[in-house]
Amino acid sequence: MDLLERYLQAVGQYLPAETKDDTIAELRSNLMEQIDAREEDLGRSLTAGELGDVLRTHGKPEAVALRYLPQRSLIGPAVFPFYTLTLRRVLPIVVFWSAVASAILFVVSRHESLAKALVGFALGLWQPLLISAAIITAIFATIEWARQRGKLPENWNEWDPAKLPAVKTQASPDCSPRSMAKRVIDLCAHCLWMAYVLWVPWHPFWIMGPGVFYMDSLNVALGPVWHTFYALLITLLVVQLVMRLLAFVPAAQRLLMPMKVVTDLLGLVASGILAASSTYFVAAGAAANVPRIATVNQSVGLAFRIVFVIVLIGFVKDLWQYVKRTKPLRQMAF
Amino acid sequence: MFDSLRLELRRGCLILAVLAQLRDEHYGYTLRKALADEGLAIEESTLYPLLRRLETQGLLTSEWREEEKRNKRFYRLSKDGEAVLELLLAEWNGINESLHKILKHEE
Repeated sequence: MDLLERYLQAVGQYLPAETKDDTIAELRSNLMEQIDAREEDLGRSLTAGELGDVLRTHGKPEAVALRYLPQRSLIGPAVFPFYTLTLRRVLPIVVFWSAVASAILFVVSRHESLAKALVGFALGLWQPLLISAAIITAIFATIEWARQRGKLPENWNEWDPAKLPAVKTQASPDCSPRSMAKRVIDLCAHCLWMAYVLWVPWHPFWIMGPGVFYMDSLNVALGPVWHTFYALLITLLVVQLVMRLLAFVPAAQRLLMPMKVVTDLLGLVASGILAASSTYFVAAGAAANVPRIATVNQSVGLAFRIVFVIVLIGFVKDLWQYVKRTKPLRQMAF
Repeated sequence: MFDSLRLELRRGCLILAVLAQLRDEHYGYTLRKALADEGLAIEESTLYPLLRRLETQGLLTSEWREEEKRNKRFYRLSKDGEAVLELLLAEWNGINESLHKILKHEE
């Protein structure tokens, strides 16, 4: 019987003090009854192994004790769906506003590099996310606590069918396939635009107009950052060309949205490279006005940082829409 | 898959069976044996905590008493338990009838 007492002691470790003795006494009584019945069947005392089998069948001490404890859940099944829905709606908004805040800080602090700003954003994101999740969890745990004690108003879970959104009569513009004529015009326009971008480096007049002669007179040339930007721009245009061609293939429609995210990302990287640079124009001769070039570079740099922030916000918005479309939130009316 | 559905199906029925069986007084071990004899086997680790929970809810009463030189905790249906059992049985019979009709349609 030493084994039985050891078993009961192990169960007792996990029971609340106020009910422990009573529960253990009842368990002992029931188990001894079971052991007696088994011994009566066999006509002899149980061996240590057989007693172990009885206890093993009865259950692991921790599991047995846990069944005697009241159900403990921070947020129960009635409230949990609302909790997860709120998390899924609020956390992306937190990410969005954190991105906006980081972008504004990046623009304002002229000395911070883009890479440093991005790393800072990524590393600092967990804090607002964790705080928001903790606040939401605390609110819903309070709601659950109040619900279990009947302290919520009777109509807390009521909803009004009249407030349900109207039936969508047509798919959103992003989802509806465009007409063949529109797709053809789009493809032609894009090809023309690509041809222009490929042609213009050798004919700068067609992008800068008379400004070319002004730049020549100032002895100013474009900085090396534009070479990197140009290579990225060509890559971006090629991806967009592929997208426009895929628009004619019905089976490839599902690839368009992820490809749009890729092009947005390329656009973000391209504008990021420009925003991160500080040298857009360089002196092309001894007669160049270097202090003036430095002032122009600073002004252009600020402009590109603002552009980068706008592109970043657009990218986060598109990415959020893509994620939302890929994993649609459960339709709920409340 | 089947096991979890089976468990779900049995959960409510077990409470009904335990309440019905406790119209007569039992202690844990004999109750389990009586249910098993009627074809409704139930694990000790499920039954004993269930008895405690039903007692906390006021559906059962219990008392410690010595029988065959051993202290045992005897459970019996309380007044509230009897009323709840009546309601549950009516519900159960309704469900049972409906299910029979539905299953007949399918035959």
